[in-house]
Amino acid sequence: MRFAAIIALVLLVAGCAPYVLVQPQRVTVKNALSVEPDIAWNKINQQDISGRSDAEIWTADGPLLNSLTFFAGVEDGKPLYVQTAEQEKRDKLPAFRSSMTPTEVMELVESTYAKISQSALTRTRGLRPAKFAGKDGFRFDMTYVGKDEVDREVTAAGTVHEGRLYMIIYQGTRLYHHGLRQAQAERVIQSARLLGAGG
Amino acid sequence: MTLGRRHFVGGCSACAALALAGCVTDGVKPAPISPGYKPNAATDEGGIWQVMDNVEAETKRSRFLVRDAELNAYVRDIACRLAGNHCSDVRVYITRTPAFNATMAPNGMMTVWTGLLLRAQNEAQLAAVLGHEIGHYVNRHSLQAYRNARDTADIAAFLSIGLAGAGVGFVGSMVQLAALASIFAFSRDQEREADDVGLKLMSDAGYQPLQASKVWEQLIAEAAASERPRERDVFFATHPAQEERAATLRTKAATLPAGDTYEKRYRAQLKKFRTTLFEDEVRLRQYGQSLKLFEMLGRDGQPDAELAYFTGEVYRQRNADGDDAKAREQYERAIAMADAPPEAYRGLGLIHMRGGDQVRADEAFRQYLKLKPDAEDRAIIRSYVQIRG
Repeated sequence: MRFAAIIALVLLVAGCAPYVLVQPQRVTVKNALSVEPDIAWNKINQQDISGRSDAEIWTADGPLLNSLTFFAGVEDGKPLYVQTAEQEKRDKLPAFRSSMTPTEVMELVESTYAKISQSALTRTRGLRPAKFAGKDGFRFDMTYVGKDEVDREVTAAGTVHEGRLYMIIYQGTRLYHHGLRQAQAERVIQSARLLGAGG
Repeated sequence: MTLGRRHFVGGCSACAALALAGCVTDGVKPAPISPGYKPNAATDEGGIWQVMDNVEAETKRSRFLVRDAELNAYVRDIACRLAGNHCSDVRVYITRTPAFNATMAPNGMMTVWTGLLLRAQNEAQLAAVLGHEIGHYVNRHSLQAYRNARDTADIAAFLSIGLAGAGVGFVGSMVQLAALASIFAFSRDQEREADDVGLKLMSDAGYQPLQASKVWEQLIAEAAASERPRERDVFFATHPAQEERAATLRTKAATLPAGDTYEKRYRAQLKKFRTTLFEDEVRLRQYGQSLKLFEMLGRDGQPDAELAYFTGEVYRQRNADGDDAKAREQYERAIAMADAPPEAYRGLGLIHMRGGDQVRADEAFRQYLKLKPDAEDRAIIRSYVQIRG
């Protein structure tokens, strides 16, 4: 964490912004899906901050307040977040499997969040079938309390298509910021299309 | 229980704990604490108490605090029986943290982690751990550790860890709890002394002293089954010391009255929390460790549908070669018992679906929905049922 903060500081001083503005128009995410937001979001330049380049994260009001995370085509055997060797040695994240049902994807998300936030207070609910990018998919909700003791509300939507996981997770503080951008997040989720899949 | 802190807690601060512990030597020994004792605020001890009072105030507000009155009263009574004259100086906080540990701060704040409640097989085992912590408290081991650190170059590490531990919202974080625990990284002599005191306290309170060594043996077995290479490495580096400790406790227990395990009472008290404790453990995906733990929890041979169900869940989620058959066996074992959780049918359905047996999968899913018609995931489960009618 301290290392990441130093890197972020260095980048700021060097003029490399950790955020990139995402305009309200159809945009491509990780070369795997496209969405059309109706407001401008801020893409977090994660590669600059932490070297993690797998999931793409946007925020409207600040990453601790609300965020959209795009999992754009997670492959079989890969975790939701790529870990460094040291992180993996300390606490390996569970991997996605192509054969997973929505029930198992939800368990995967719950475990991943519980591990990353180091919180036993992580609970999923309301798993249901729903179209995602025109494909048969799923939705569910989750709440978790991180080590900052803040309650967060999570909305997840996704599909497993041709053995890969496509999923958008919207999260925000339960008290205010989840509700604040819920409609805009919903708009992003509803507008999702898979690239090269005719969606 | 230093082993617990170092080996059953994730996060990097455990490394700091080890580094710190490695340099602790025993200096001048403070006198044991007397009941009702409060240090002068102007002393080093007063300073430590003040920091811990702040941590305690935050703990009281934490979302991770288990507030159930009955469970708190139960654990507090055990601590009280052990603490004797110190009873009114000890305050117990149960925290929702799925790892083996209990801590006791110098100001009398004791934390009991829910992972310990899952792992203790009877009241005597819980009493053994709490008695050990009270042993540290009564002998003011943390003050001694602080003074030793102050006299060496470790003070910087000590302070930085201390400040981290005193930070906002630490309670639910295993890393920060470990940091807090590591402020009071005890020397081997202190651990031995706490073991002795704990054993005596539990025996005096009528508990079976043999259970103290069993706690250690269970922990050794669990660590050995861990997939985490780090955990195994660190553990086995000090393994003989841990085994020796269990052996010493076993030998000493043989000289004390037989005592009682109070297993029935313990099980009854924990009953309504057990599902949550299991869920918290399974969510960690430490498959090998969890399976070892569950195997040990089932050694008494008593029918336990919940244990079978959660064992099935671990096998299903691990999904390694041969795991599906084992998961199926566990779910079927659970289902054969009268108090099987409906979710055992769901698990069975998922295993059959994975194995391509849609007829049996449908049958299991239907049974799940029949037993739990208002299940939150009913819509998705219905979508798994492919054969209509």
